[in-house]
Amino acid sequence: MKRLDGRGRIKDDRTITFTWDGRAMSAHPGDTVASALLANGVRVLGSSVLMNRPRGVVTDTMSDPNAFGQIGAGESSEPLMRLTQVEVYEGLTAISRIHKGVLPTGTDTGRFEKRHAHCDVLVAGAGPAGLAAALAAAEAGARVLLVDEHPHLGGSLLGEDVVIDDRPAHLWVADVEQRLRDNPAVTILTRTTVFNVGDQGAIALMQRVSEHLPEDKRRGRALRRMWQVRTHELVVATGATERPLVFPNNDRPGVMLAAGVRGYLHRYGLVPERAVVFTTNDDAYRTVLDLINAGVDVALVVDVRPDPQGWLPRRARELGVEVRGGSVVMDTTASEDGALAGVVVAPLGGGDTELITCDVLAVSGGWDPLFDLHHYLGGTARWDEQLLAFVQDNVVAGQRVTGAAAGIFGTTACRRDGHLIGLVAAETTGFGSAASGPAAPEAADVTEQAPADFVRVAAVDGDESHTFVDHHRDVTMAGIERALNSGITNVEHLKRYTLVGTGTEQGRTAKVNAGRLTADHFDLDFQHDWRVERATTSPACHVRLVGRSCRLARASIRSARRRSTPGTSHTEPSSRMSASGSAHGFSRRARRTWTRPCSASVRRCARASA
Amino acid sequence: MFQIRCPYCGPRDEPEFKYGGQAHVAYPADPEQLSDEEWTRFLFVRDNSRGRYAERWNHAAGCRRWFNVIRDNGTHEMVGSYRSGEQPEDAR
Repeated sequence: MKRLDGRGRIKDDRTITFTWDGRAMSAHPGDTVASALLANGVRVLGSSVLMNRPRGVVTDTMSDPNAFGQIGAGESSEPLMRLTQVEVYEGLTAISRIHKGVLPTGTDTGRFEKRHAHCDVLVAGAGPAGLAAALAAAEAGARVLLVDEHPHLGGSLLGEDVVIDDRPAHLWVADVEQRLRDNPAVTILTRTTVFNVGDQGAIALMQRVSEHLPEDKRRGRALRRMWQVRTHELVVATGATERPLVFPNNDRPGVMLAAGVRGYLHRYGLVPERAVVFTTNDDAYRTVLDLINAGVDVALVVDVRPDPQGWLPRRARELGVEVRGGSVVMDTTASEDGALAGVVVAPLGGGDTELITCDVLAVSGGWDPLFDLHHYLGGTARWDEQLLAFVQDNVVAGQRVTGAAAGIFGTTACRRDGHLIGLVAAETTGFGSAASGPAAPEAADVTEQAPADFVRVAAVDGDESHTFVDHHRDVTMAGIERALNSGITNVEHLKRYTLVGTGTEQGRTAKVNAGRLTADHFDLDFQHDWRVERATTSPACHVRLVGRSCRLARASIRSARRRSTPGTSHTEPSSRMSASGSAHGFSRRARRTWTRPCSASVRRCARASA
Repeated sequence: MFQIRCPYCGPRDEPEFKYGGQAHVAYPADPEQLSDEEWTRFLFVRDNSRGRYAERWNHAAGCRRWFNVIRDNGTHEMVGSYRSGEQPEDAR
């Protein structure tokens, strides 16, 4: 992919260097390792785990099944880090190990810490729904903790070209962020992942404190901090992830998810030379429109639906893009390095084929709401025939799912639902009244045509050994058919037999397709809930869980300040200290002496993190 | 980790507490008169039902007092807690 000037959210006035497999690469502040590699022309990240197939970046989010690598050198390196999440810093060392890491053998010298916190409403995810929920709950008076794993708030809005209230979406995000930061009852944690949920509102977070900084800028700060939070209400606004389609040779580097392609455009200013789009739904046309808008050649849109007539396809046609309904991509071709060179397009059900050259194929098979946190406490899911996706089926006490995670798509609809959920969450914890709260924005999203219920293009010659269902674990259609033909009837057994949906990626892009293909094989309705997510949402190293304890001054999340057992008494003004001091039998002088050993380290610590 | 409401101190994290088994198991009025089987049943046999369950907890790292909790052992919902000597209806 190539970089367009003036596009994306990177700061291209400064260049930083890092190494990939020992080769020097350049990047800009704001790049992830994945985006920097694409900008450097690295299309092939490495070989797949079992079949040694070349693999590349698939999308720009943490759902990428291929973009893993070993980050850091020597004893404190960490295997299987998500390259779509690791931010590039000066001097970063990354090694291509896309499906299998190597554990460092020595002592990890990195410092980690943990702390506790309480809040009324914890909002997981700062996309349109999460931001609206956090704002509504905070303005009703609740103590809010807003958590997002990206460096910036905005969620999906960062990777889209959306208008909110007649302004670009990032201005709305900045406005909401300012209102939240001005509110002393709100704490915002970016670069932080909710990785587990327990009973009575116990939430575990992992915050990346300084590991995204060059080593000379970490200044003694911990690399990561684990948070154990007790919240009254959890708002799950974790969004959705796009589902790929299954067709022969669908794993070539260059075959990407449609939302990932426009994500790379809007976040990092990266565009393909020539793109083809293969879709079952209207949403992928947003990628088409955004690419055209950026001056990229979109050779063809291949739509499974016979006659796509929604607003988005019609707009694409008006811009001169050829939209071929009732067609599929039935194969891909590769260049010498193994990356995508072209796609073979044919009418659905057979007919004349056509080879179209392109360097990126943007694929969309629909969207899967991400609501793993809902499953951990007994939440169930059901298959929605309209959305063609799993959505939550029951309500878990103390939890509310909103936005795309609840199967609500469309920016305004997400903001509206998030706002209402935020008000209700605040009301449940004793703040404000949902009925008399500020009005929600009226829904005004583009109506989309229904998606096609379509998963797989069968190989013409019947050889499914290169038709990938799970890129991460190299599970092919041939492997799945072998399992199902050898007596396996349950998708759980299929998982154990083929390893589909296992590994670090945990089948984010594969599990729904694997389940549907199983149901298709036996000609069953895809209805029953086989989907049970297990904790944790992302891997959590043991060493990261046992860091030293720290307590933080006020709501500040930056300064780690160690405190001794009597808590705050020795840092409060002396007028308030005398009472508690004498009650504990300490003279002021004795107390000074007694706090001294800690004070030096407190000062050091406070300086280090200032 | 549960959060348990001590009726004396308020809600606290589970590591502060010690578990004390099923609540409201009355001590026999006249233990001498019990058969071995009845005595065994009193000592060892407890309800093992799914759903709301009354159990004793001790706030070991706090006020050190015993109290009772009603917990749903299927969903881990903490329905309420009440002091020793009070009845399950008093749980809150």
